[in-house]
Amino acid sequence: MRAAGLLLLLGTLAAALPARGDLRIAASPEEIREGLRWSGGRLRVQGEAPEGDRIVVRVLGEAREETWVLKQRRGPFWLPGERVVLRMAPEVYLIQAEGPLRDLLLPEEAREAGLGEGALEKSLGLSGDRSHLASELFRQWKASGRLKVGEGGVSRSGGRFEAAFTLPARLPEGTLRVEAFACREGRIRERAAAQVSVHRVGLAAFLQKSARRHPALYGLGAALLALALGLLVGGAFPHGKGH
Amino acid sequence: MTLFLPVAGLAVHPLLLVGAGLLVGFLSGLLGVGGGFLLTPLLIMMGLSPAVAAASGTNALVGTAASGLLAHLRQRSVDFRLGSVLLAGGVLGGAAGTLWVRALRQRGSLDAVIVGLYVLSLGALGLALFSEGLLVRVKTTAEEGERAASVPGWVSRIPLPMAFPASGISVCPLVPLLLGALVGLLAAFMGVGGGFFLVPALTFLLGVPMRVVVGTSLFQVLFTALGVTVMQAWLNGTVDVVVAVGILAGSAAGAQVGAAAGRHLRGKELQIVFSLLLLALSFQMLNDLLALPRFFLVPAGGDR
Repeated sequence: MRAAGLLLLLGTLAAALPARGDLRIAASPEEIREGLRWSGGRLRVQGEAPEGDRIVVRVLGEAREETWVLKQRRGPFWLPGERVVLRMAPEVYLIQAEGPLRDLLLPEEAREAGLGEGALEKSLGLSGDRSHLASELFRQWKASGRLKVGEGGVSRSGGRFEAAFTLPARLPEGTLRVEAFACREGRIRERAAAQVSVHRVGLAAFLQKSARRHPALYGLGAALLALALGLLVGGAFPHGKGH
Repeated sequence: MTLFLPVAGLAVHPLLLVGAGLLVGFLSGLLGVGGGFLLTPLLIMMGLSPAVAAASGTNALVGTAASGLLAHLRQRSVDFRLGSVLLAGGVLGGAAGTLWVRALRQRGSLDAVIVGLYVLSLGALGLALFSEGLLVRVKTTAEEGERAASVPGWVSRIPLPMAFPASGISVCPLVPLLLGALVGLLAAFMGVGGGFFLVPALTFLLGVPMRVVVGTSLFQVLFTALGVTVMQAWLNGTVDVVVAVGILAGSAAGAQVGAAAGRHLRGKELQIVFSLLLLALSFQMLNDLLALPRFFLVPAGGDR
């Protein structure tokens, strides 16, 4: 009798606790196509999670090493000075969460998961005595739309959640990793991820690829195109002064 | 509606590009100047990095120079011999300039150099035009047609002279070679054809008659710009052909409007308006170097 009661209690508890694998996300669109009319876009992330979880969604671009230069005053002028090498600089770093990250996650948990400006600072190699460079860099990235850490940008409706992201116009080709973190009591209980591919299409793709893969031919083509247009205009307006 | 510039990596309204082309073409038609020195600052103000703005401006210049050269070929007012020597210098200067641009770009100091060069050249040209009435002088001389060619004494004393029959002068070819090299350097750094430098230099330094100055200058500018465009694309990857096409679309119409307007406006008024425009641009760019920067960190590649 006692054993049956214990089993019943365990069963009830198990039903009440969220099970692993109950966090799901989907990103829309799954493919971003950058043509000549591309000027940035919107990315919607929808998902399902147990109601007790607090959700954080992150959109992360591919990371690479970047070199920046710090402007310094020389006499009356602001001129390039110290070089700053960023170890792993993501193309975009966008976060939307149900509330402030500090309320949803313990600091060490956020750091470990790479969530928030502090974690980004560390991954860039700008922590410690170089953190003033990080704050300056982040100011610029925020202005260009490359970085955003939003609070309250995830809306909930029962077990469903949704977040929307504004993608900057300068979005290199590659893969965006979209991740959802289900948080409870300051810890990440579960993660789920989806991928969004970014492609240049049409003429924009052709021109960019030509400029990268065959730069001399591209340059010659660009020069000849301008020459042809110029001769066309010169022919169409034979009495113009031109120069 | 915006237009994505695949090499510059940013989106701009197409009317901005066409508008910049219109303005540059208008000035070209009105005053007979190339307008490249105006184009690069305008592109920088649209958000293009100075490196891409200068290289794409050079690309657009190929079209405007070709259009102008065609008119001068019809009038047979091109000194091909002098133009070829200038061009040889331009190719050398352009190649050296492109490599220099590459080195400065890697060091992250290209933007400051380009802006600094513009401040100096626009300021100097604006002041010169404002105070001395150079354009009026050139315009008047051009209207006079043929002018007696006279090479300044110290230039004519340089040994190993070479005859340039179409221009009616005889000078050491090193002089036009160096002039061409300077224009090539200007094209690589500033995206300009160098007409604003070459026309007065050919007129006052080499004594080339106005009848052939502009056509010969355009000959040199066209091929220098062509070479610099290819080299900038090859070595620096900074040529955005979409920018050039947008600019050319506007400049074609602008040049016609400018030429028509020029027939109704007085030279003195044009000179003052133009010099004030140059001075305003120069002050704006100087302010960029002196004022507290909006951002203290800039990408080392010169891109934004």
